[in-house]
Amino acid sequence: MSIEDSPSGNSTKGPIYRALRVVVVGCGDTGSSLSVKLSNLGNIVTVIDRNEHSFDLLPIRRIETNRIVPIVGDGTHEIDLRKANLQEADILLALTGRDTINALSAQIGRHIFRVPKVICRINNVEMREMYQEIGLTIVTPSELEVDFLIDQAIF
Amino acid sequence: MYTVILGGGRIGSRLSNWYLSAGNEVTVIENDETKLTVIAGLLGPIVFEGDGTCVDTLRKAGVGRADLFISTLRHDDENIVACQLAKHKFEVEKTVSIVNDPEHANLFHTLGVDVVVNITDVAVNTIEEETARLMVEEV
Repeated sequence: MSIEDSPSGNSTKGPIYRALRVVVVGCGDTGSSLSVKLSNLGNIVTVIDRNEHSFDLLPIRRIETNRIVPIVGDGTHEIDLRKANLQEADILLALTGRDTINALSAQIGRHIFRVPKVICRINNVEMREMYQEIGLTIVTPSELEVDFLIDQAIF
Repeated sequence: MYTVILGGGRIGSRLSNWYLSAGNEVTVIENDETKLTVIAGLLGPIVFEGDGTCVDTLRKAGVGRADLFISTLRHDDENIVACQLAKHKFEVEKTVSIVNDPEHANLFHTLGVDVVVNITDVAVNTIEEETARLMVEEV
C-alpha cells in the first residue's frame, strides 16, 4: 500500500511521520547505536550519560550537527532529565547497564514527566516480571537472545 | 514481628539493635564483608550476605514472611527497586525507605513505599528547629 492509498484521509504526499523527540539514558553500546539509528530515521535524539567519554561512541558529526544531543548527567536526577528536555519528549529509553538505575529512571519518566512512551531495559528476569506486572514496557536482552537462538536452532 | 533491614550501615545497624532489644526478630541484608563482620560481632548472627535488589537474596533472607521491610541504602535506585520487590513480589505489609535525593521523595510515595524518610528534610528540620530557638533567645 502506497502512502497515497493510506486510509487516513491525509492528502499531503510523502510519509506521514512526525519526527519523534527521543531521550536515551545510557550511552553504552546499545544506547549509542540505537541513538544513531533513531537519528537516521529523522528523529531528534538526546542522550544522557554520567560519563562524558561514553559519547565517544557517537559519530562526532552527529553531535556537531545537533542531530544527537549529548547531555552529561544522571538519568535518575530530575534536573538532568529536564536539561535533556524530557518534559517535551515522546519516548524515554532507559538503557544503562544497571537494572536499578533503569527502573528508577523509567519510573521518573513515567510518573513525574508523564512521557507517553517509556521503555526500560531490565536484565534480571524476576525483576522484569514485576515491572511488567506494574505496567512498564521492558526489554530483556538475554531473553531476546534466547528467543533468537531458539528460532535459529529449530526453524 | 519480623523485620528485614536492607543495608548494614549506621542507620541499618542502629535500627536492627533497636528492634532486637524490643524482642523482635531481625535480619540485616548487607553485601560488604567488613560491615557484615561488625554487625555480626555486635548483634549476633542476624546478617545475611547478598545484594538486596536481587529477588533470590530477598527470598533467602525470608522477606516473604516479613512484616516490615526497611531499605537504608545510599543509592535511591537500589532503595526503590528493593522496596518494590518487597511489596509486589513478597507482599510485605509495610515498606520503609530512606531517600537520599529529596527529589525522589514524592515518587517513592507514588510508587507505593509506605514510609518515605527524606534524610535531607530530617537534617534541615532539626537544624532549623535548633537555630530558631537560638534566634528567639537572642531577641
